[in-house]
Amino acid sequence: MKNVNEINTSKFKRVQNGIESLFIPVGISLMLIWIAIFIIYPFINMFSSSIFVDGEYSLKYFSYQRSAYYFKIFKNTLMLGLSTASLSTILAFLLAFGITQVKIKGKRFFHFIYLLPTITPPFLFSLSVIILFGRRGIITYHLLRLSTNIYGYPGLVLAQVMTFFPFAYLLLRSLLVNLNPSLDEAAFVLGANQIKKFKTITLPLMTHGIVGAFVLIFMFSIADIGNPIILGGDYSVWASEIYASVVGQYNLSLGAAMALTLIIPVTALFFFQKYLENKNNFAMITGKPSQSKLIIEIPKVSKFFSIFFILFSIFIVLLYLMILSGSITKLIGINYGLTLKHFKTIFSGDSRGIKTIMDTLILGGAATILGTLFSIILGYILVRKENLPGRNILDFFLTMPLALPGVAIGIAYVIGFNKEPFAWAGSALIIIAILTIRLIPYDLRVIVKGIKQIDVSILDASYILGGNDYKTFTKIVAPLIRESIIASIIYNFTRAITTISAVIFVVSVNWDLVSAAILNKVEEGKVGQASAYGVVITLVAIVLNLALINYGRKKEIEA
Amino acid sequence: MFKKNLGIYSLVFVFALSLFFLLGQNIMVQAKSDGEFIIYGSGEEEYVSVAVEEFTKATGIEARYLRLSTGECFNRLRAEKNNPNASIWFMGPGDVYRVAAKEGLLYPYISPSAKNIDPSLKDPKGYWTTFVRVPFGFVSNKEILDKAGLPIPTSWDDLLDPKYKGQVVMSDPFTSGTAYTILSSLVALMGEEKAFEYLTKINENILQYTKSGSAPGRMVGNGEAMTGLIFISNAVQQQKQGYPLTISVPIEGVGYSQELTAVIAGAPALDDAKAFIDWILSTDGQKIMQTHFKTFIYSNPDVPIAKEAAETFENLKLIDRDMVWAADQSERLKEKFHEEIFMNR
Repeated sequence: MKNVNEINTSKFKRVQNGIESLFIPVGISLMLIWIAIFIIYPFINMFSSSIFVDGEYSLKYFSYQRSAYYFKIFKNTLMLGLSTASLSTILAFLLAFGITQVKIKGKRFFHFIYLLPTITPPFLFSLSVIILFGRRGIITYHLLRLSTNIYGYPGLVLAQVMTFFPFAYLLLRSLLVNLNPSLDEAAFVLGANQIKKFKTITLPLMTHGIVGAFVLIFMFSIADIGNPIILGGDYSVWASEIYASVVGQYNLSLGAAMALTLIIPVTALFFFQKYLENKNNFAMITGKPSQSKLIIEIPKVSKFFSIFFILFSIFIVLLYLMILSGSITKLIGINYGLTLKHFKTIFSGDSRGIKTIMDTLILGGAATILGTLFSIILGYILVRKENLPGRNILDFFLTMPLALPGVAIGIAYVIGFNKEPFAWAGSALIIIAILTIRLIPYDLRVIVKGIKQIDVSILDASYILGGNDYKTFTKIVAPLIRESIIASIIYNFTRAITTISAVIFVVSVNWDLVSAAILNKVEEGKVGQASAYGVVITLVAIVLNLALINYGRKKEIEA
Repeated sequence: MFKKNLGIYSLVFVFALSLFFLLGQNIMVQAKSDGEFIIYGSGEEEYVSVAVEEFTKATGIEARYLRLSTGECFNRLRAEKNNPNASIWFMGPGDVYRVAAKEGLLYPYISPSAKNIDPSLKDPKGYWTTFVRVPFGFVSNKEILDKAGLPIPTSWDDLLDPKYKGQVVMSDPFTSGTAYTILSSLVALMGEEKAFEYLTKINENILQYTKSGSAPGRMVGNGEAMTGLIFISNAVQQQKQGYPLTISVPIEGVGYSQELTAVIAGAPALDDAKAFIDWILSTDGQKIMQTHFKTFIYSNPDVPIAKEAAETFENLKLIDRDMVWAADQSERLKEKFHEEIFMNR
């Protein structure tokens, strides 16, 4: 960089460069402060509070977990995770395969429907499931005259699959889209029929992706607290038990010990999944998706997928319809009189509804901006400064929050930020921080991917022509990764306004979030208001997503 | 446009981040403005907001409240021990208050309004005083009971009828304070051995042990179960939502949650805090609160049970349950419940 400065003779330029050369050091130090306070500190704190009981070292809370009861919930958690992950992966594979490889009509519509569940606030699918399939469920009781018990395992699997399958679908779809079509063509030319092609080419290439999707959904399932709280019944699982130990028992130490127990397997799985993903990248992306993609045109196959897609879409729409009708009927399940009173209550002057929605948008917005900007700068540093000492350790700490179950992070924050010198519990700062640390890992991956796609020679050219890091970053890197930036903004905002597990312990009267408000309303039996919140936030998310995607498209055309 | 502005964006980012760190420090400073009267409430939001509103109306003293769950509130009091923000802790179950008093988090104040209050409902040194007692009871879905030919249950034994199989809901003592109140009251009423015999028998009829204390009301209201066990005050709120619930109490007696209030040690607004305690324990104060919440049993003996609740409470017999004993036994009883009842499902 010194050489670069010497080239510039203008005094003004030198001063400017002086400030701009601070870009990297300031960026790195801010990042270090951030990691120290918001990631390392709370976890060390949580660890120490679980092994020190009344100031003395003790493994009481860990040994507690050896009882038969905890063994049972451990087994439940595992069972649920495996079932949800298998079903979601199979379902997602079928959907992704159909969308990408089979000739059917209305693909864009189906794709949209399959992505809808990603923006559903928590709890609401669970409520829909109870309304549809419960003992007095519209389908099970009123239509089929059955007396079923949906609580526990069956309901949980159903609700979790419906909540999480889109993530597996997205992952598998992107793999299928990127499958090198020349292989297909080769197979076709060599005389393989469609089925043989699927067996010998598509499936083997997808193995890593399928395992990756399975692990991802398994992790989501065992970290989920929203569905088990409402639908779990006697079927206790680890994550909801952690929640209960804090809320019902006021026992933060037990919660911390339980959270720590969960961290080990989940972190291991996370890094296993990451490993698979990396491996996959080499195996599959060999070229740009070509126009001349071969698509299965066997009428029988098309028909099967069309029917399957239509039925499944109807089911998703039905779940949403239950939320919608919950919000506009007096009391769903009991009194189906139409009313707008739930919306009126939320939006009336003296209720907290407007404030809650505004808080959610403000905090979610702040976390979105912070997370995205943070990731852009971090991503640049991580990619460009490969010889930065401790780079991998930094990457590890930044990625960790994604691997951890949300409740664990929530507990770590409650313990850590309730005492000096960081007694910030209940402030906007803490909620934004907890949202942001969960967003950064994903953003970072998207943005690093984007930066890596930039040809290195362009960046080198910038240096040679006298650009410093700051200039190279702002003038070259940032504009080139616009698409990644928009993708991460969309993801951030959607996650921020629908997340529950991490934030449930840190919301306060000063700052509330819709997801926590929904839980409160459900607990109080105000299903109508809970649904109304859900409808409002889903609409906001859809509008914002569409607006951002459109903005991205427009920019693309301009450029 | 994006390109040009990115430099500015980055500067804004650095600036925002520094501001963000400063903000964190500021929030705590700001909360501690000179002697502001802040109340931490652990009851349901509605109880706390109404109490504060009526207090200000009656005395002209301005107060701000923060609704926190019992555990959260207790943790916060501990955190702020050397520099408390709030002056009053309002509502929340008795056992936590005892621990707080033991840890020196509470300030002893014997209010003149408390002189008629039964000694068992207040701390002799004045660390805490009972505001209300909240009994639990049965909530039933009359329509479904009628279909099954069952009357509204009025005795613990009624729930043992085989017709109730899979039709009774209560919460899990491990996750809900309500359920522990029920469990410990049963032990206090029947003795431990009999109580667990009873629980083993009723286990057959239990549809589900819910995570949350109020969920049984919703489920019974929806017709998913015939009868549930919840706090009567919760049941009343759910009735207001439109759930068809019939409330009844077992003649043998029911337990209750003792909801206390206390002055916080080192209260920044001590005089206001004393005024609040004086008002909320006074006959007038409790009568005003009763117009809002009729199914509480107010601690002041001069406040009789509300007319509207008289019918429900006709057979009400409160089980004497020593709070100290209940708190001490909590871990053991819960574990026993898990091992002998829950695990045998």
